[in-house]
Amino acid sequence: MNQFIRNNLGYLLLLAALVILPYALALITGDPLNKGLPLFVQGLMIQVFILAVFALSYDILMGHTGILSFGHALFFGTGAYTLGILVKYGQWSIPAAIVAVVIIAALESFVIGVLSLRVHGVYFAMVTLAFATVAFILVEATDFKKWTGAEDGLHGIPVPDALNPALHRTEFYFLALAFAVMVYLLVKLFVDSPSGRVWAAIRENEARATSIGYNTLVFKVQATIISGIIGALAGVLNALWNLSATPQTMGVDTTINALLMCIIGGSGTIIGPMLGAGVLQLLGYLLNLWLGSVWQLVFGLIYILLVLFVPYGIIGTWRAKNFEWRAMWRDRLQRVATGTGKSSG
Amino acid sequence: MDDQIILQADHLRKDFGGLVAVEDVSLKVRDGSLHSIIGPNGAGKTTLFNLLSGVFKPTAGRVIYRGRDITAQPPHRIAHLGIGRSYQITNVFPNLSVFENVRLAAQAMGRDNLNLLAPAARFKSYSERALRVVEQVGLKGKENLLASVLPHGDKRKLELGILLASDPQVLLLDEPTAGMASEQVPQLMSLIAEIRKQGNKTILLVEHNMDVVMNVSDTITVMHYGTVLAEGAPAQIGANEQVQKAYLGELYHS
Repeated sequence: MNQFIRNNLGYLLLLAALVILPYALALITGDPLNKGLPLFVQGLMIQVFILAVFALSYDILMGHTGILSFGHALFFGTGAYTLGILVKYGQWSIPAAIVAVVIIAALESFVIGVLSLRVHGVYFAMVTLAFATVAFILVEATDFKKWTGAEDGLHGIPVPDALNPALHRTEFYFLALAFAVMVYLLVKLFVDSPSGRVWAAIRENEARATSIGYNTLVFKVQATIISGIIGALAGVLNALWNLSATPQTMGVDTTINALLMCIIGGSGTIIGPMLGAGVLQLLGYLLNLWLGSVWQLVFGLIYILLVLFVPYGIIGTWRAKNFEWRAMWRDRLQRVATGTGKSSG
Repeated sequence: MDDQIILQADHLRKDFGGLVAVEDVSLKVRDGSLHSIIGPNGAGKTTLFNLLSGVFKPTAGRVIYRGRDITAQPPHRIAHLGIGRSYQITNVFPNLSVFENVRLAAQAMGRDNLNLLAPAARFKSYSERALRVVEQVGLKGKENLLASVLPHGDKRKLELGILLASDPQVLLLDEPTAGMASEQVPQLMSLIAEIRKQGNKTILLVEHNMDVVMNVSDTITVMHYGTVLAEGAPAQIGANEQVQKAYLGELYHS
């Protein structure tokens, strides 16, 4: 148990800080939890948690399986709209609607995966972009305005009071935090599993993975389905938070945002994309506050600097340094122990 | 005699547009033998390997394994049937550890690949097999290094380790000593001989350098411009004038 705490100290401290955050803010400012700064920061963090899950779902493809998609927003939007339409117009209960979202996202990602994963790299990215663009056009189309609200989006999703983020902000905060923690643990489980290791093999060298006996298409479709379901669940939470689903959830900006979060935080590190979501979201908010509408220009500059000097993202670069350091010391100790002057490896 | 043939190429041909890489190659590999394919650069040796392992589909001809036509099978199926290959150009998983490179090859042959909910480390048989193979190919102590940081000679050993971990019956080795320091070559060749003896394996070995295979082979096939120039025991091949011409050019005999 002690070992567990030592190995995961950083994660546990982060989690503890996030649990304490609303109460600490309330204590410091003297405001109650559902007013002023505590209320506002919880709202900001809820968005961070939602985007952290979405970024992580994107990284299952990019960072863990080596698949570049430009259409991941399709799943975010699918989650948001499916929930909105079923709950508002179908009078479905929220749990039933979530089950429907999971099934629809699974089917959608299965079909897209089987149809498009035969092409690689940027070609796959283009095919996914096409799928997402079709979905974007469909939700904006006036033909379905009755259901989707067209360009305005679907608003006023009815939820029970207990889930209403305006009335029960702190409860919603912990719901979103628990959701993010759960997805983190799940993805960690997946990535360490036999299938997850095959994803890594595909990312590293797909041809060799095939030659040692893996039918790589099966594993790529598997990763796409899992990524799609988690992405859609993030969309569900986003719809519950905003009580709406807008075309923007299907937009290419949503995908690019996830991609930036993964790169800034550290693609392929699990916690990295989640951290990236926090950095991007908070930095975006602060820059906007200080600089007004030119903030994106400044952010672009920061982004370029990050890519230049922190090439594997925050977590990835830190781990790479750490790994080199450890490998270097192991090598030195080995040479000392064996009495050889020169390294053999 | 024929029932001892484990792998057979039957009039294989492969065109790349106008270029004929393999024109007409037939060969029979006897079960348990060490069969070498030699030939100058561009003779079509690697293309032949790509045909045998299913990476390329032949323009004409068939590949027969244990009496069964496997020409149309995809590479991953062929791997499961028991034909494994290594590559001339090192072809590993660069940002995974040496151990994980080998473990993945062991896992590929099992039935747990679609398991998402248990840590891979819990499947001990693959890890144990990987550790045995790492030791066998002489990489013990380097399990936790990333494949990308290995020196070239060690990468060649890892290349062989990945192949051995999946325990194939037929090993297609594409210039296993390519780029190795010459003093390391005998060591690797004796490892290959040992693998064959221990596991009663069949080895089909592509080599560029004739000297390397002379002492270890049962049969040697010489390829030249996409065809079979000669085939026979090492002594016959060594004495064959056509082979000498192919390797050394006409001048040698004039």
